[in-house]
Amino acid sequence: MAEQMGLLIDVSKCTGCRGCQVACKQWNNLPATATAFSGSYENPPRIEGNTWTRVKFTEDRQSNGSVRFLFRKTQCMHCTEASCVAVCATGAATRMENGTVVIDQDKCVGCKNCVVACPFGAVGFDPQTGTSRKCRACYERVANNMPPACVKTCPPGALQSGKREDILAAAGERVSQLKAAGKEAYIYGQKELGGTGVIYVLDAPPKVYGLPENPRPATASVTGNWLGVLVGAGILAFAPFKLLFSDKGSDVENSPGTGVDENA
Amino acid sequence: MHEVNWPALIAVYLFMAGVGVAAFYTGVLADIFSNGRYRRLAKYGAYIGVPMIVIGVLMLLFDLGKPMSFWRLLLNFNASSTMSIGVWLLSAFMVLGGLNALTWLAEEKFAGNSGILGAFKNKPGLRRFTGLVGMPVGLLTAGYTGVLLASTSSSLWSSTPYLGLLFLVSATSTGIAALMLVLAWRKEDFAVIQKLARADALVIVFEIIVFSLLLLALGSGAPEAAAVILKGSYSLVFWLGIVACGLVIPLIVEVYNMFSAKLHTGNDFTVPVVASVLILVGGFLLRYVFLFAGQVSL
Repeated sequence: MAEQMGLLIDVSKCTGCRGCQVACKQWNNLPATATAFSGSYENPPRIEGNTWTRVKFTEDRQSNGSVRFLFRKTQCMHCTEASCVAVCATGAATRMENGTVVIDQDKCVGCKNCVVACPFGAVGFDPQTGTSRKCRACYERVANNMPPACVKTCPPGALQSGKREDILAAAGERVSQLKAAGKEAYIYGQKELGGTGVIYVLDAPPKVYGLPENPRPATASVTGNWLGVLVGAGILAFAPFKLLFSDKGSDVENSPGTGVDENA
Repeated sequence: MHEVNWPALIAVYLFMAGVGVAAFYTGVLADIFSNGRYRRLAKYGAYIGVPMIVIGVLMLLFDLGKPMSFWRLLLNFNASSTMSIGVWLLSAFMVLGGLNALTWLAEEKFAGNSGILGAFKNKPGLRRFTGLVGMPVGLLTAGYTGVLLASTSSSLWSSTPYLGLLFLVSATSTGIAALMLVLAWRKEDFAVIQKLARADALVIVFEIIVFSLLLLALGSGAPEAAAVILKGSYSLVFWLGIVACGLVIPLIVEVYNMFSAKLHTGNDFTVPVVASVLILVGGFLLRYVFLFAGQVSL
């Protein structure tokens, strides 16, 4: 397997400047969206087909009444067990050899299954293109040994890109630093969904930052649901259909059957 | 948090696909188990099923971001994708059901001996084959509409293993209801309607059991998602539309009808017609509420 790429997001260094959002829009040639003030500087309100990354603002009220203002850059996590790839019916969503998950815009027909399947809400439908779109970790930049646009622009150095193993090592180091300084520290993305390309260093539990604690791939319950369907189909064929409709012998109009009704 | 990605059109599609395939397999099953006594049900099932599925699939295509690229779905198969499985189930059903319907159409009075329809005249083997293969394809298609929703990250849809089963059982009830309506409209043998009503009563009992299992599983696994339909903005439609109108009242009406029919032998079509309409309304609301409530929790 080729070298797996990684992106480190150290929320303890993020100042919420949203330079990454602008850099992403510029490099990927995405239009600005008109939004209204929502009571928070968090903007735009959600990831959409033409907004692939945004900084999520969280106001975390402490037990002593003070408020911590938390920032987390959100975007596609580039999961190993990628739900979008699993549910894609045209083969548009694929995981590249370096671990980057991309949606081939030529193959996407805009069914929006990946939009509702993503555990992180990181895929959006773009009515302009008629396709589902999301962060592609600046695949071409990385292929040409350049960092993704968001990493390149980040003023406080909260973002870092490289080989996934180096990123994990850097994350581990940062967590020890934070803990040594008497702060909480967590790594997110090391094992979640088979390991994600994006690794977070968090200074509060994942839940506080709005990350699912035990994310499941969208296809997790599919086998169980199909089993239910098969059992149900068997039960229905027997009751009511076989039970009520098989009246052999009683005024059958046609000649007796040819052995189709021996077992339900 | 997210806006609605799968709109009301998809609820209509889920409903029509369920009615269509269920009318088809109900007819086929009734036909084969009765050795041909209920052959007319198989005919009406094919007449209801094929156009329903064709219209439903057109709605699906219309909802695509790039409808004219739909053929890309047919160039690919992804076993982990419920939608991909559904594409192939729907395609298979349209071919099998279509051929089956043609064998019936060929025997109608207006069909001549020449032309396309003439070629399908007196083809019991083709009818039997397409019916027997189309029946399980139809059952799986009815279930797929629920499994499709379950293969997402919506907690309402994906937290339990019962959604596919619920949609299958509910589709069966709506398919039987559609058949009853057609029989009543054609003023067919009242005894056949009675038989269908009895079958439907059993299906509704099954559906109530599955629904209870699903809600119990939701209550423990995803209480917030359960609250959206049980207590939230959809609760009124849920209790009145789905539970009362789609399940309880038709069941009472059908059971009452079973006993009253024994008392007097009048052929009153009103009762099964009312029950059928209520079931169809309830079946649509079930899909509508689940589709929208599921996207609230995304």
